[in-house]
Amino acid sequence: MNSDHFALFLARLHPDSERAGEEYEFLRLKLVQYFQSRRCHLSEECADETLDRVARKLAEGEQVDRLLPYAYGVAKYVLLEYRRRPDREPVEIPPTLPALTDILNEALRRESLDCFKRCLQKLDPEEARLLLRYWVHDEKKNREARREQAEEHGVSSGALRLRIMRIRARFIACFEKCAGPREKR
Amino acid sequence: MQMDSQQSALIHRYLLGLLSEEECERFELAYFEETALFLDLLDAKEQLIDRYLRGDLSADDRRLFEQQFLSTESLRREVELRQIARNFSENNPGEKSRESKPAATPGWRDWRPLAGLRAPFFLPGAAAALLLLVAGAGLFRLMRSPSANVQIANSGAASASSQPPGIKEIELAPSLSVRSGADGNYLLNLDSSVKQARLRLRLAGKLYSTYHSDLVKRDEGMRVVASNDSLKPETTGNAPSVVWTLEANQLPTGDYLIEVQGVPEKGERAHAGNYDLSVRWR
Repeated sequence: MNSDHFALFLARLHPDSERAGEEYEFLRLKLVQYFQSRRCHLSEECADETLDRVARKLAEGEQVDRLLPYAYGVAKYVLLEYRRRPDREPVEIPPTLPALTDILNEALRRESLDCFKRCLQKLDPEEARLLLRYWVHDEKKNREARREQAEEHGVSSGALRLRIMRIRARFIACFEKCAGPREKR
Repeated sequence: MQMDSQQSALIHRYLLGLLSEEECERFELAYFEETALFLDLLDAKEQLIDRYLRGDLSADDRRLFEQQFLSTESLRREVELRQIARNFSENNPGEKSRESKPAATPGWRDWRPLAGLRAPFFLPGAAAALLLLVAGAGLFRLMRSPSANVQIANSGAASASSQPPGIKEIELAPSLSVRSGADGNYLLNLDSSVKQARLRLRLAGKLYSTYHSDLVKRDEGMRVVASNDSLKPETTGNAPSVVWTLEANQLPTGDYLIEVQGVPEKGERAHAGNYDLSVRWR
């Protein structure tokens, strides 16, 4: 997606550039969620491919009345193409699923904990606190916990969510680099 | 705005893959258009992961959760990271109290796994973490997989390189199944260069200051071949454990059950964990 395409895309999402940026990030999150729920192993890549195609179509002058449903329609095509790819991971449920015990064992591995700590340390302390609190909070429901967090930071829950997602993305990149891709651990 | 129960049920069913294709598309289209609904979906998703990790899901929901969440790399990573974060936070109770007010020196920067755990071993956060493990163990006792064991056994083997020569250490987590056998056991390979085997047995549940342990040989009519009634918990690793050092010649090739019991100051010993071990001599 070149800068002109991107600018056009943003302008279609919202007249205010800041809000448009947020809308764009939300759309990407929605696309990732969509592909994940369809057990697409390349959810991020498919989300980006969808965004690229939508931007290209807009730049080509395609008449799009409602952008978000349009993006959803494009995502469905991207998913179909993904499923036809010969090199794709199977969508079917693997015969042996990882179990909770695997998760607990993985979480207890010294390497995982060390990498977790190291990557937290690379974040700004406030960001680290925000991320930790996002992952772990007291018995409150997530929604309430998030609302309180947003109030403390003087932003909307949506804006806070986006901020956390950005921090989380950086953290995960660091964690994967440190611990290696999960399947190789 | 409170999420109504109908919507909440719809989201729950969507997350567990229970909607028809038509319902699914309708719901997806709705959250694409309405960010508030999407935020509800994200909240519900995180809550579901938390409930799974706490062992709060019904058997059916747990199965569906695993099909939906653990078969996709990115979702499984999210589940793992939330569990690691829980472990981290439980080991840093000071961090929790500071989380709402920025501190000059964040506690997590000084974090060492369970470094603060000292006798009488009732650090609330650590105890809660252990309870979580026990709850998980109880609910998912049939789900023990050999691959998990290999991971831990490997980490034990890796640590063996830093051990004095002639000593081999292996770390074992409690078995989650009453039934046991060679399948999925921890494997300890011994050879003539090994004089002693150090079994690091991870503890779960209530912590005691002393533990009793029996080594039972499965293929000899469950005969107790060794016992130790003065094992002391250590807290220097990722989780509290006891280390039982055995002479290598006490461990001929075979399948073993290690039974560990906590020794209270008064009263009867309490079951603390069973560990399955296979020994092979090369």
